[in-house]
Amino acid sequence: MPDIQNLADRDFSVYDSMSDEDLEKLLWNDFSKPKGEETDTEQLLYITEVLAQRRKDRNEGKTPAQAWESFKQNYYTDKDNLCISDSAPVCTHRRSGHWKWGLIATAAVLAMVVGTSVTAKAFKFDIWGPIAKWTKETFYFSSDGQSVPTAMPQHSDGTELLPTWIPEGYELTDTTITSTPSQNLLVVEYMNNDKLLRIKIAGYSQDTSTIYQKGEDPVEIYRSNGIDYYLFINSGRRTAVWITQNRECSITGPLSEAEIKKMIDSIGKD
Amino acid sequence: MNARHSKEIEQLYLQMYPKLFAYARSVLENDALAEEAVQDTFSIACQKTDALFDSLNPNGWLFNTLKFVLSNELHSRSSARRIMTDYYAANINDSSRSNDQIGLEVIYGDIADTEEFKLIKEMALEGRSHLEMAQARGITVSACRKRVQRAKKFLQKNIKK
Repeated sequence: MPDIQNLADRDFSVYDSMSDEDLEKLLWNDFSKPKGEETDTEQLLYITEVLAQRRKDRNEGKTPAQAWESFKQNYYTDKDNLCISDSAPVCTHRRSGHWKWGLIATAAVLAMVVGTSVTAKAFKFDIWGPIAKWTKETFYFSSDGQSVPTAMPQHSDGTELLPTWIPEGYELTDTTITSTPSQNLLVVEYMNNDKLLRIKIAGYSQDTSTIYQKGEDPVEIYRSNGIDYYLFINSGRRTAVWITQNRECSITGPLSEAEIKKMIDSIGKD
Repeated sequence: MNARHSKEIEQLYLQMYPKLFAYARSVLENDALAEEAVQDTFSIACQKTDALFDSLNPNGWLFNTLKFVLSNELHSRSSARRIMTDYYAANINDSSRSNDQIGLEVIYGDIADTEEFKLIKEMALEGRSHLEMAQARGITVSACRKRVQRAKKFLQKNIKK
């Protein structure tokens, strides 16, 4: 960028009469120019000031003060994790903490979601249990028998279906709840450096099943606490899928066979 | 950043935000993304206050930094769109075979159901800013950015071409 020019020698009034569209094209052209050929700062300041003033006159968008507040709250923390404001910090910190705290918070939200979810008629898993089917490359559940509408358990928060043992080194990073007319979905994620472990609990409202990709290794059926868990591997990630309480559940991650089985065995235990 | 620079940054922000926003808006054609680009610019400014205030032309420094941020943003969204293109291309190739075998409504593998897929889809096809995606998930902008990076790696690895 060149040094600041002598403003008295320069007349930018031609930009005052240009349309927003034409001014924006000039800015886009500047952005597209190779380094060293860009428009000088004073011209950019003039053009953007014209656009900004017009926007202000139309009362469009945030004021600078509003944007500044959003900046302090959402985008800026200094290297010591202190906020820029002198007042009580509204700081952003990476969520951490014992994994059970996250689950308790999740349970409260999920209980609210389930309590207001769709009616009994919408859930149609066969009361005798869906059938597990797989091919060389896919795994899925099929309810192609006499499907019977079955209600979602009332006041069920789903946390009783989560493993209580997680392999060492993993830290809870996220819990997400999605509620749509066709699906209630709880996803809990753990990270160990760049390794991702995901647990999913889904209640479906249609006779559909997730189709899971799998490798060519055979599916292993592991029975624990009266439930059949279907274990397979895809692209180095081990997956366990099972149906219980009208929910389709899965664990997926870079886990050993022993680890995933230990997680399964911990479900419903303290 | 010391208290003096903190005050100067605030003054510079209030003065320059509308102009930088107008520039970003011209490039990104989206208010939320334009605002985020300006916020990111000032995040960098806060980390490099010496470079900013020692510059002969702090306004020019801000514009240069904004352009850097905009280039990165366009590149990031372009890679997200490529992931979506790869996914849909793979889905078209496999869906007929899957439907013949199963006769069920097919969701391609577990991919479309993953949080990673949803995140990248929001970014690539809905043009959401990191702040919008973060607020929808109850997480910080910083955590959302990390998730986006992890999501891209995960999807690039798991989507067949």
